[in-house]
Amino acid sequence: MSAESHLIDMQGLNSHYGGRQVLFDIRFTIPRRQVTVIMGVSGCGKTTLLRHLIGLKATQPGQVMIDGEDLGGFDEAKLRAYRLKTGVLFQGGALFNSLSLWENIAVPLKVHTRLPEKIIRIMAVIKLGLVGLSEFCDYMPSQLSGGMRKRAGLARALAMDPEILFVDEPSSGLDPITAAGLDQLILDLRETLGMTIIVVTHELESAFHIADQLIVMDQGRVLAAGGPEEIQASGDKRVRQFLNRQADPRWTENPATSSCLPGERVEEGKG
Amino acid sequence: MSAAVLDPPGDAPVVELTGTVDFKSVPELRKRLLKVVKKRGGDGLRLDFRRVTRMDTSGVAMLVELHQLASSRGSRLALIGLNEQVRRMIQLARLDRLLGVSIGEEAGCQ
Amino acid sequence: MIQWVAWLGAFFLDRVGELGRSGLFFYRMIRGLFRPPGKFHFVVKQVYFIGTKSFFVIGFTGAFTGMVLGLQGYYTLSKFGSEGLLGSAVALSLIRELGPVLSALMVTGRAGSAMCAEIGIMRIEEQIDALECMAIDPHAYLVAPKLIACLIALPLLTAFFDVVGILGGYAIGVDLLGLSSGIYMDGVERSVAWEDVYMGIVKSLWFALLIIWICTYKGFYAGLDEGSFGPEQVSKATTNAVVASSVSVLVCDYVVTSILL
Repeated sequence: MSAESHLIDMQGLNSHYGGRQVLFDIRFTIPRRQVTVIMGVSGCGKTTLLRHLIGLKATQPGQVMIDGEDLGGFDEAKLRAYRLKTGVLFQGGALFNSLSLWENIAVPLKVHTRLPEKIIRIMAVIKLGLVGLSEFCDYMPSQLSGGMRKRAGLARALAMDPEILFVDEPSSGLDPITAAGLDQLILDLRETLGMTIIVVTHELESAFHIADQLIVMDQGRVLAAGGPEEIQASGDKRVRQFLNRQADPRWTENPATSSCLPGERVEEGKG
Repeated sequence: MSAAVLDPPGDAPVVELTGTVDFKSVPELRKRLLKVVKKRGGDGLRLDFRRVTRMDTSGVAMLVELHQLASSRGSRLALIGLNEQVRRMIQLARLDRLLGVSIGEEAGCQ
Repeated sequence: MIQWVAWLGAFFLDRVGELGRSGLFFYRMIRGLFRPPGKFHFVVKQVYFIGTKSFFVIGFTGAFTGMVLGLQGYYTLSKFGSEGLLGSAVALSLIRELGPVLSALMVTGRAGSAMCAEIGIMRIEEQIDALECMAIDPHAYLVAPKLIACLIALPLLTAFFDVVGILGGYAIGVDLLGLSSGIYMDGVERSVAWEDVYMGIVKSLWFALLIIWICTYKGFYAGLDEGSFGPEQVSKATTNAVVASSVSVLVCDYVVTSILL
């Protein structure tokens, strides 16, 4: 039954880097046509979670279901089909330096479609227009500021009209006005195109502004999940601490409890 | 996707589109429509979208190109019977004014 | 002692892991040759970058190599009174050995390092991840065109190197040291057989494969060992790439020579 209402169903995702476990039994669902925001301090594992969802980090079978199918069991053809309907905005924009802005957006279109160059160029300009950069279509990425590069990266993520959009830290490093514009665009995309959007961020204000559903993560675990009001009203100590931007008490704790000391490491090769 | 060209005498040609207008169908469709505009461009062109279920950005881009070609020949493109999704696609790209699509025009289009 | 054993074990595990990864990369690079996207445009660009832009360096190196061979060869041969063999000596050593090897080393230094850095930067800026997320095989999109281009450009550069080198030897032997021009050119013509040219071409094809494999591999996995991605990782990867591919060119040279002889 969850297959209809939920696009992504996390059924206990564990993740390791080398011998270190970074995600612990992550369970939540991502509804269709809504904005889901994954929040948490840096290093809480939210970027790792994103890398699993976009297939850049291998997932164990049975841990993540996408559209009722097991992400861990995807073969190459299925992964390709999945990627064709997803768009990803990376933290720095990840534009190709040797190509101008419109050529960057043209890359997936040229590879995956047989559209003539003229149409592709018009499409690229339309996409750049969405992020307010249509007059910069012939600029090289190096001629733009970081914020503009990121917006252009979003335009490229939208190139193939994806059904699912993953966004890594949309507003970090942007001025407040541009960040607000980006938030508005995310809402527009959900509203007009019915896109499913997953945003990873640590910016509270933007998160509460755009989210239909919020996931708060801490130290590789899900602390809380729910609508903005639910999270706002949460009584959990760590959630409150995150929402109130209090300093992390672990910083001032006795170093003897630090996880850097031996004894807590997870054995390599597990899973 | 299919496109039927109707050419009523004394009036602008009408092209009836059926199915989805997306990056798979646009390359073929574009060739046919460009041909119609080049042949009959001066008389304007009416595109009937009543049986179009879905359109993506490549479709919007094709409309922009057709619009440019038509207006360079002093005529206009008229879009008829746009459904909600097609209209939103055009509005999101902020091309509704350029392509002569206005909000709440539904009744007039039927 | 135990620590020593553990260290040794970790070291070898590391090497074996690297071997496996580079083998897999090689397989994907070859597979990338037969996968979309179309490569013509990219190959032309890369041939220009690897080939045309190396022309001057190769010509320069070739000329001086030929000249020094002329000088040294004349000195050695004159001890046995056989200066007449200078043309053969210069041509054979260039075509069979020095042409392919030195061209490969120059291309490694000029183009290989640049390719490694380019791909390394794409790695640390998540551009390679972005390609994968667009369902574009980065091996087919980035690496395979470079391989085709180098397989085209390096044999041609080698041929150019050989010709300039032989002319350089001519300049020294004939113009400077007074050997007869006919004797020099006759030596070149009589001694060089098809097998020699064939050996030079085979070598340069192998070198092209090695250079691209090693340089792009090092860039592709820049910073992977440390698990951190930054500019230092790219510069380290580039240094490693140049050293590793130069050494393997020399090793491969020995192997190919011993097989073909």
